[in-house]
Parts: sequence; structure tokens; C-alpha cells
Amino acid sequence: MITSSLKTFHLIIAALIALVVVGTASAHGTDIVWQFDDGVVIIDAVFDSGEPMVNAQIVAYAPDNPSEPYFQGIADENGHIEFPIDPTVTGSWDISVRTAGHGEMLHVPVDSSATSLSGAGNQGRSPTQTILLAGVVIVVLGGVALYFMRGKRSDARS
Amino acid sequence: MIKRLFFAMLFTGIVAIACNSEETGSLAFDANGEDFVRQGFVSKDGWEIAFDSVMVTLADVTAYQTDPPYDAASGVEPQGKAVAVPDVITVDLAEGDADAEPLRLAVIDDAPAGQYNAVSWRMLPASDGPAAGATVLMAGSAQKDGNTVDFSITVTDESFYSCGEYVGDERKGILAAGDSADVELTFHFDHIFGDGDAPLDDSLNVGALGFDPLAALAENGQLNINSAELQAQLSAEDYETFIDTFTTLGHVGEGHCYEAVGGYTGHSAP
Repeated sequence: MITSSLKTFHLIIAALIALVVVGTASAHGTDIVWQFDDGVVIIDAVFDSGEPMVNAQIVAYAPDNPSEPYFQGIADENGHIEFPIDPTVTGSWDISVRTAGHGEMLHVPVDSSATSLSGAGNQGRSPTQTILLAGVVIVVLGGVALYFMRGKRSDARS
Repeated sequence: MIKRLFFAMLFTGIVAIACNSEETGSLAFDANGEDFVRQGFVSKDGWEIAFDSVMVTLADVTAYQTDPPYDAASGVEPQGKAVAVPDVITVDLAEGDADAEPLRLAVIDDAPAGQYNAVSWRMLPASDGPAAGATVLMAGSAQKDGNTVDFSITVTDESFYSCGEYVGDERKGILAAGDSADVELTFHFDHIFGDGDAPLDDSLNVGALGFDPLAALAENGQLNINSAELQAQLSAEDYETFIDTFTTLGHVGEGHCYEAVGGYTGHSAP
């Protein structure tokens, strides 16, 4: 019984390690999260390696004038920036976050009823990574299932 | 009978006029190999690389107006009003001087007004011309420590890219009626060779092949090689890196794309 639990524990640890490895394997993705709180946009931008997007260039466009920058700024050494927007201008506030070779457009949906929102960019994990991750999860879960099925058969035989 | 026919024609005419009354503008499609291609650069392993030509063949180049904005990570097909370049086009991304503007692929004069916030395209082997058989043909020279390698690298793999909005110095793709706008297909060749100006542990360099493995295949300073020969002569790991970085060539400015390599047959959700 103790041996069985240990094997299960090892399988779960292996699964967690596999998930961590896949999640940090990208050479190129970004992982950007944003909040909108009481008229202020807060952005934290990191590469999917976890390294901050130091000095990332930030450009925000208001929904009523999407061609001209409403705000331009630079994120700090932690990839963090906060800036106010006009919450009475409702619609999608589009915010460009970029460094050399990496960039993403965020979309903050501001409407008259929302004073607090949060979201993430869409490149935290590439499609390839997602497929790999899904594959790992399926293999690991399948392995766990087979393990327990085998255990049941052994119990039945014994 | 004649009365019915008259009203049917009248109705058809009204519909046709309504359809044609859509406000339009002029949408340009550009291809940009960036300064790395036009000005040359130093690879992550210290080779000074200068390109004579970088030929790419592009097909099904299409811009979309998507709502909600297209998420490239979704891997699904962009949906919305679409404007496509009708031709298969081979361009030399190294064309022009060091400060040359991006190459204009096509201009569609009757594009519906709106915001073009997604782009997709295929790269496939050219059917004729100097790049015949090549999806990408990179020709130039690389120098390091007194050694020079003149190279011609032919990639024959097909690839497909679908991307969200351009992310760069300016905003692109917003087309007002009677006005003009442009969208850009951007190619990041530093992904293959790395960037000597960036730290070696920068994610770009960690994932790049560099030029050393290619230089090792040169004979008497000459390297003329294609995809099949690369696969046969590079180590399995290096070839995989080469293909992986080739796959990620396509961007929209700094914005990333969904990529598929090896002959695209259709979108699929990851």
C-alpha cells in the first residue's frame, strides 16, 4: 500500500515537473497581464521564461481615436507600468507592449459599468507549446490511469 | 409575368447598388525583412553576415477585419471581412540600400474601410525565376576571424502564418473611407542566426542556431545547400533548431503569429 502511494506520488511529481518544463521551454513568448482599476491601467509584462520585459515600450490607443497614441510610456525594470485612462471613453482600449523582437497588443474592454477589470495577453503560451502541454497532460493522465488499472487487475488476481 | 420580372430586376439592382455602396479605401501590403536583412548583422556566435539576396515566395496574402481582435495563439482561422492579394509573389527582402523601405507587395484599391487587425499568408516554393524551387533562398557571405563563407541556403519547406495586429513604432491597418492604409508581413531572420548585440542568454539567442553549424558544412569557403542536405548533414538537434527558427520567421512587426510548417492544409485549434 505504501509502495503504491509512493509510486503515485512519484508520478504526480513527474507530471508537475513535465508541466513546468513545457511552460518555460519557449524561446520567444510573452506573458503579459493587465488590470484596470478605478481609471488606472496596470500592466505586468514578462517573457514566458519569467524574465521581466525591462523597459518595454507601452503605447495606449483610445477607442474613439485608435490611430493616435493616447499614452506612451516605458515599463520599469520589472516590466511594470501604471497609467490613467479616461474611463468615460468606453470600448476597447488597445495597448501595445513591446521590446526588440517581442510584442503584443492588449485589449482592455472598458464600459460604463466596469470600474475593475483584469486580463492577460494572448501569447503566454504558443500553439506548439499548448499542443505539447496537452500531449504531456494526456500522456501523464493516461499513465496514471493505466497504473491504477494495473493495480486493480493485480488486486483481482491476488 | 413581365411585371414580376421587372420587380425582380429592380430588387436585384437595388441590392447590387447597396452592396457597391460600401465605403472603401486603398490597402497596401508590405513585406519587411528588417535591418538585419538590409544592413547585415553579427550572429550570436560572432559571424558578420551580409545578405546579397533573401528571396521569399508568398501566397494567399490576406488581411482581415476581426471582431473580437484575432488571437494568434488560438490557432484558428481569422474571421471577418477579408482582402486578399490575388497573386503569388516572390520578393527579395534584401532589395535596395541599407535604409530601404519595406517592399510593397500589392495595393488593393477597393478594400472595405475598417481596421485590418489580422493578416495571414503562406510561403511556398517559387515555381520559376532565380528562386525556383525555394520557399526561402538566402544568399550572402559570412565572416569571422579571417574566414569567409559564401553561402546559398535554399529552404524548400512550406509554411503558413496567421497573425494578429501589427505591433511596432506606428499603428497600421486602420483604413478610413477614401483614404489609404497598409499592413506589413515582417520576417525575423535573427531568429535563425541569433543576434550578437543581444546577450547569449537572451531568449532569442538561446533558441537560435547561429552560423557555426552551417559554416562547418562549407567546403573551400563555399556553402550551397538545401533543406534535404541540411537535414542529412546537420546534427538532428541542429536541424530541428533550424526548422523551428525557420517556422517562427513570420511576424507582424514584433507581434507573433500562429505558425504551421511542412505544407499547410488547414487551420486547426491546438
